[in-house]
Amino acid sequence: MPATLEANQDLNHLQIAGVTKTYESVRALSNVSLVVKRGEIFCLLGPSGCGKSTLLNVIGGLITPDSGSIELGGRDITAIPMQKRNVGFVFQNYALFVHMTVRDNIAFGMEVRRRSSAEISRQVEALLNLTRLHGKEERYPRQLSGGEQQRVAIARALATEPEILLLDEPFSNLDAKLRVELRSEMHRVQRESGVTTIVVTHDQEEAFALGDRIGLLDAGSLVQVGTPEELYARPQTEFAARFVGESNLFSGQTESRGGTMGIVCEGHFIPIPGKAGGVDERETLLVRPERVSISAERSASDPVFAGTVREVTYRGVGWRYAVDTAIGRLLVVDPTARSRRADVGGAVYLNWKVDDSFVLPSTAEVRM
Amino acid sequence: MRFNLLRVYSWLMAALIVMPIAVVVTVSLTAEGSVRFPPQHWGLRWFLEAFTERSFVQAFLFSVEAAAAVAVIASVLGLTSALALVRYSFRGSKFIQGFVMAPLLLPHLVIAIGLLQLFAALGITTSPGGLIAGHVAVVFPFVLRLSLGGLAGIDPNVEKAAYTLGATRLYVFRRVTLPLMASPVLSGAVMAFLLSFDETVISIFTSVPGRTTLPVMIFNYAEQRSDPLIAAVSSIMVIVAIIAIAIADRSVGLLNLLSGGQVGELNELNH
Ligand SMILES: Nc1ncnc2c1ncn2[C@@H]1O[C@H](COP(=O)(O)OP(=O)(O)OP(=O)(O)O)[C@@H](O)[C@H]1O
Ligand SMILES: [Mg+2]
Repeated sequence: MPATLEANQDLNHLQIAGVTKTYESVRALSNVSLVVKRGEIFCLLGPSGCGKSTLLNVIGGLITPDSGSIELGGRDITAIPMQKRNVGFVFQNYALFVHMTVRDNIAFGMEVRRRSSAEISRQVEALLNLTRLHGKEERYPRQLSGGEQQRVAIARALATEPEILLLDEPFSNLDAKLRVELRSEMHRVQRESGVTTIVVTHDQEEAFALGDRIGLLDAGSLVQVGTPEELYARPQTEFAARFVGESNLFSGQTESRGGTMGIVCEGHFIPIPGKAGGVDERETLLVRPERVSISAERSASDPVFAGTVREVTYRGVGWRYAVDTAIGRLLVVDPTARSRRADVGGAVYLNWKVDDSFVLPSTAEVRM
Repeated sequence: MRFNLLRVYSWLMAALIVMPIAVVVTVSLTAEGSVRFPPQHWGLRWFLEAFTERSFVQAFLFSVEAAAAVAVIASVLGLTSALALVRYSFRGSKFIQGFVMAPLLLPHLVIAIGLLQLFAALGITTSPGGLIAGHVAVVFPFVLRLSLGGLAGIDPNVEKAAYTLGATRLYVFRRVTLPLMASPVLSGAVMAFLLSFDETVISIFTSVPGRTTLPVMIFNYAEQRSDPLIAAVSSIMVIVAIIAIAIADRSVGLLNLLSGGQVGELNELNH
């Protein structure tokens, strides 16, 4: 049994501090600091070109950062080359050894380490079981489907029992259905092996499905780290609110009317929840589309806005409406309804509970 | 309509290339004492003659040895140069790439005369050392091209993957890069062999009596006499070339590679 202190240190498996990387003129990473816990799946999420791959490559030792440090399992690995880091890296295109069988691909790392052939066979067997590749061990990569190739890449990376598993967009070369299947497959493999894992993705849904925690990157900066629930319910910036899920955002100066705090947006007063902040500050309010209810009759409680339906989309799970109101176009998602509540051109009232809306904390910071 | 014209054109071009060879082979199959096309009587007489003519047999064996040496040397140089130029691209590596292609443009005569003077200055014996060096110089661009092409076909991530698995540079070269380069390198070797086996101009300048290649032998012989023996020896050269290409194509897919086939598809040979 490890001492409590040790266990605590152990909890922070990977620690990145102040990592910066600049390519000629592009600042790919600026002062990124991050802690990944032992045994978790951490998703690096962000739009194309935000620096996800660069950060993953820095962790794997494939790219040397300009400054900052990386600590893995209590060891400073900043200056250690990729050959000696003991990381498992899964490339976006898998980068399998096309001239070797599945078995030889998986065995490669162990052969480098001169493990005994009995041990190699045993480990390959275990990994074939884990990744459900039994019966395929004598095939060459080109004789495998995309999904199978991806599993070989994962098995190959896990074979050396790496400290950490790094995957760069592992599902991007697969079709939508297979993607969802392999996602849960990967989740199972990770839970069974218990390896600390970092997955890069630009797909929010993927990050939510896989990640114990998510790190959101924007233009080389880590803007927010949290569980999927935290990211969705309490985004810290406008970027986070827009990138993660759909959102309705309103900005305005705060005012107090009849004892209620709110912001004034397009000349209309919108109440904001809790937090007795100062008057006449600029704030941004977030209301998620599924928190807005839509109906033909005006409801009793504020806030209520009248509007005209511009778009109706059937989503399978309910409908999605785009509604023009005095405070702008709002998105409404109505997942529980059995039938549509309004048609295009119809007059409707939108309403939400004040407590279901959320004031972005760092609006001021972002604006300045 | 256009399709048919194209077809006719292709066949004409093919015929143009094959015709001289066909004539030589036909002439060599005569049983008569002099060259006549087509021969009146057929026979393998001149082939037997060629195999009993000591100087021809000697020249043939020397040609094969020299071509084999050229193939090995050029392949090793081609592979290592390609690796240096692509993997460790340095200042001026583009310039060097262009520079080593120069023998493609220069008349072999110029190269031969240059080499002769160089060898004289350095005190190098012209044959076989100088001859092989000269051949390597003219076949090198072809071999390098094939190696560069093969290397460009290797995904750099594949080598990186091997590094992240703990492999050293040498290990990655041995287990990953080299096997993936096998088909372009072997194709290059076969090309080098054939080009060297065929090379005449440089060989004329660098040959010494007793260490003469077959084409030089044929050249000298044809200057003095013109009997079907020359045709028979030439036919043997054609047959050697065909056999070499057939072997290479079976094992490496040379034709596929030369006509722009995918390198990645050819790696079956490693197993
Ligand atoms: N070798 C390089 N040279 C110059 N700029 C580069 C290089 N690699 C990446 N960049 C730039 O750095 C930024 C971050 O790149 P990176 O590949 O990390 O993005 P990413 O988040 O992985 O994007 P994607 O989702 O498209 O893969 C981009 O603006 C990119 O253009
Ligand atoms: Mg990327």
